Amino acid sequence: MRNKILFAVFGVIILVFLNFFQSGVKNFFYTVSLPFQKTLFKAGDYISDFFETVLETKNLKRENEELRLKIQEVIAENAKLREIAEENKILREALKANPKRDFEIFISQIISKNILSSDSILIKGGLGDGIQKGFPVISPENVLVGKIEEVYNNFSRVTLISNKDFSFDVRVVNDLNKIYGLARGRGNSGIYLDKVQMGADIKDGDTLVSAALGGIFPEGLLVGKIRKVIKSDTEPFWQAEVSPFFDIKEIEKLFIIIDF
Amino acid sequence: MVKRILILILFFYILALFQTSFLIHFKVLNFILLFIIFFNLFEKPEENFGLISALIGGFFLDIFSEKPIGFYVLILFGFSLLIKIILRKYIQLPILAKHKI
Repeated sequence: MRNKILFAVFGVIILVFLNFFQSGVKNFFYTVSLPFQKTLFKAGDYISDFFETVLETKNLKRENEELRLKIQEVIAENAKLREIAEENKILREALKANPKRDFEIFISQIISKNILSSDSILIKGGLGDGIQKGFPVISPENVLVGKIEEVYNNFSRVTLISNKDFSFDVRVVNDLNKIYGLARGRGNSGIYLDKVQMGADIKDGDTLVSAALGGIFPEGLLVGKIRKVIKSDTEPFWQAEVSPFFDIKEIEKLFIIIDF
Repeated sequence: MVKRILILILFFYILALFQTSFLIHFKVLNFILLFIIFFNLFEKPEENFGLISALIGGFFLDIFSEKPIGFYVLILFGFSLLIKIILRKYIQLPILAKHKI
């Protein structure tokens, strides 16, 4: 009995002691495990991609047709945008306006994901690389992925925007008005739009981009597409189901915005 | 005893690496948790390797998650103790009864 009590007291002391050096202890394990984790992560990615391809073969033909149509639409849209860009350039020169400054970024890659929830990831780059808590994390396609939650010496933990405790301001890209709302994480890579003013002109397929209102993220980062608008006459605000643009399985490189 | 603990540490470390980097791409269960339940259910009643495996497994779960060190250690240790108490007091499995003799 005495031995058991001693063992328990000793155990608690060790746990408390380890928590004082938590950052160092975790950083040590991540550094030692990095080569194995990188290899395993790539292998898992490759094998899961292979099985997904096999399982989705029957959908490929239909998807191919849809993509062909989409490409045509995008080509048409691209041509229109080129015209607008050209016009914009001329107007900037005319107004002598300064061109928009690009973000200062740090290129990183995913090392691992949290076992119990897939809405937190570990990435390369930490205090030594100038990374700080709160920095936004995006994909190379300018899609918002999350923000830095914890920083170790060589690694950082990112909370994805789909995390249940995560919310941030977004703007619905709409030709008519500026419609703002709050994007909230749903867990398991899902998000939804909340606090949209009743009667706002939002519809399925509208794109959401980050808004600079809360000061957490820079303006204009891609967030997702509205899948279904939930209109309620009894609630003061409307909600909408959102399909996020980021797919953590597909992302290989990540950019950490260190200045915006 | 020491050799078995070292093997358990290595086993759970490799399992944690495998779970966080490889199995995360597939929708599978948490194998660390499964093994801890398995060890607690099927070890001899007089042995405490189920509890030790809960401590080690919990430690590696803490290391590879955003939780403070000790979070999963305490949860899994408590869970293992509960399994042991239920097995010893309320359930009579033939395999356990054989060992008790």
